[in-house]
Amino acid sequence: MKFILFALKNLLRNKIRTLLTVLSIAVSVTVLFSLLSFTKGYEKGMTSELGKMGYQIMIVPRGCPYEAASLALSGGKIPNYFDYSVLEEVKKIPEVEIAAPFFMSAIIRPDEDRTDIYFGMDENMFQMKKYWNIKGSYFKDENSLIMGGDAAYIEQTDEPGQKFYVREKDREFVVTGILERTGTKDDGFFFIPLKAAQEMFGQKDRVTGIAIRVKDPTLIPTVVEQLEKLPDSQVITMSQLMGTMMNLVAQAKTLILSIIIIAIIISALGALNTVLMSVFERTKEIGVMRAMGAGREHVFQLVWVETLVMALISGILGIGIALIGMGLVEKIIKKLLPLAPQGSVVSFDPNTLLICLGFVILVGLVAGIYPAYRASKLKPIEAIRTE
Amino acid sequence: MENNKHAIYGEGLTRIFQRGSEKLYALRGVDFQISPGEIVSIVGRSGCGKTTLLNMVGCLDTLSEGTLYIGNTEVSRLKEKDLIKVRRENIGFVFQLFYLIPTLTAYENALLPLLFARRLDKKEKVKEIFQKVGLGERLNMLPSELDGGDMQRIAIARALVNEPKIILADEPTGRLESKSKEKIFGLFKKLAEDGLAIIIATHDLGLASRADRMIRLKDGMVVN
Repeated sequence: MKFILFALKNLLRNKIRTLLTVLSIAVSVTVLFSLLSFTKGYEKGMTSELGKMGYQIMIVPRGCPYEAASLALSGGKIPNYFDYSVLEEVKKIPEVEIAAPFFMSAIIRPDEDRTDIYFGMDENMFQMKKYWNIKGSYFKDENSLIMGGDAAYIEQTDEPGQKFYVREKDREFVVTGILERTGTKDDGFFFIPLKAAQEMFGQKDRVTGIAIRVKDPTLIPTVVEQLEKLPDSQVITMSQLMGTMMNLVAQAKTLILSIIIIAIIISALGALNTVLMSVFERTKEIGVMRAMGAGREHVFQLVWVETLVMALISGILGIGIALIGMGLVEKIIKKLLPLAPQGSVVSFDPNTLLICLGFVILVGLVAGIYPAYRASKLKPIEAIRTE
Repeated sequence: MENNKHAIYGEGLTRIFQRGSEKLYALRGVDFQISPGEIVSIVGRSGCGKTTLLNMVGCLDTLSEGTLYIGNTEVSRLKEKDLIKVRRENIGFVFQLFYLIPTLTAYENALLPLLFARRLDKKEKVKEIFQKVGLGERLNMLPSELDGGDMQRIAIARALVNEPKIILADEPTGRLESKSKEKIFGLFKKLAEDGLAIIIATHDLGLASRADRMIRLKDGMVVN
């Protein structure tokens, strides 16, 4: 028998009390692990998604540029427009490699609990989306439509050539291509020619944004400077967008982390209280152990190990709950976020696991010091005499 | 001075407790000796100093005055760390309420002194001792599954695993019915035959009178 087994068996004496203490620490660890996993996963997902965009700058209508840009990335009805003629001005900038105008809007079908995103685009956007694999072909005429992988699944469209009727706008399209899943928001969109989108939503010669690829990424500041002079529009770079989103996440993370730290301190005090109570209950027993030849260091070690074992079990349980609940956390977070990448936003990272376990062990070590000290200070004769 | 003959040799053992300005004498100049293989009982009313004397000779408490030898070691001036070593190597305790750890099996309870002495390599010895105290079949039972007599035998086994020279028993049969009392005393007799010095503090005069020698205490002094 080793100290750790002895400590474990001591914890089992009052199972309910130990269980409640373990659960209180475990819940804090679950939240901590989920939060850290989310931050990591979100950053990874956003970096990957923005990397797949194929452009570094976006021009959006006046208003909140981040709202418009995030809508353009995540999909939705962009309520502001600017004139198509802006595109000509953009093309005049020599450092611009490709400028791709787009028109995005949505049709909401509350009865079916769905929102269809229509993305009007021209051949320039295809240049940017070179990583796309399309089953079928690009647009053939103004009535062509390409379905994102998820959209095609929902519409049960397996093969190009099928007709697609938009009843709200009384407009019929022919599916010319089906996009293989990309792991981005594109998977849920309906892609139609730019002019068709402008007509369908009654915004002739107007666009909701222009995506811009610069010849050399080091020239982005120069291009931005020139784009900012254009009327009715605002410029946002993808790195700014990424930075803003990560700042938002970081702020939320700080807030939640503060709450978790308070929760962990409370849990640690709970653990301290549990072990201290068990020390008081075992005063005579500790006295007898001292009579049997246990030194102060043995008693200290035993009580400390008990707290540590409890913390470790809590940590493992907390991380286990977090891993099991990862899917649910992902669903909740995605609903709350203004811009979430298509892929997983919660990523399992062994380092996060080690950080959480290390943290909970530290909490156990700190919480165990006082009860262990109190126990080790008990004089055998006084402990045995205690009533 | 040397003590070659006695397992314990004490002279003028005195323990004073201070309560405010008042001095309370728990023991007043008691001379006490016990030889290997001897059973000595200590009797007297509650508060007469029986337990204090056991605590003194068990190195659980310090003397206010007097000299005490455990074997050849003069323990009255030793520091706590050294007293622990003396206890570990020489003394086994048996208490009235057994004080077994309820979540540990009989075997694990008896193993504890070896764990503290970092001598788990000697754990085979525990099984031998269990045979000796008649509990060979009950190694893996929890204290709650055993009766009082068996629990006290586990406590005696626990006291024996460090191979002590002295057993100190405080009311060892106080909670037992007569059949178990007999068995426990029989066990003490057997241990004494093996050369252990056994001191029993008890209210039970019937048990005390069967010891080789009986010491009567009154108000912290020997009166017989």
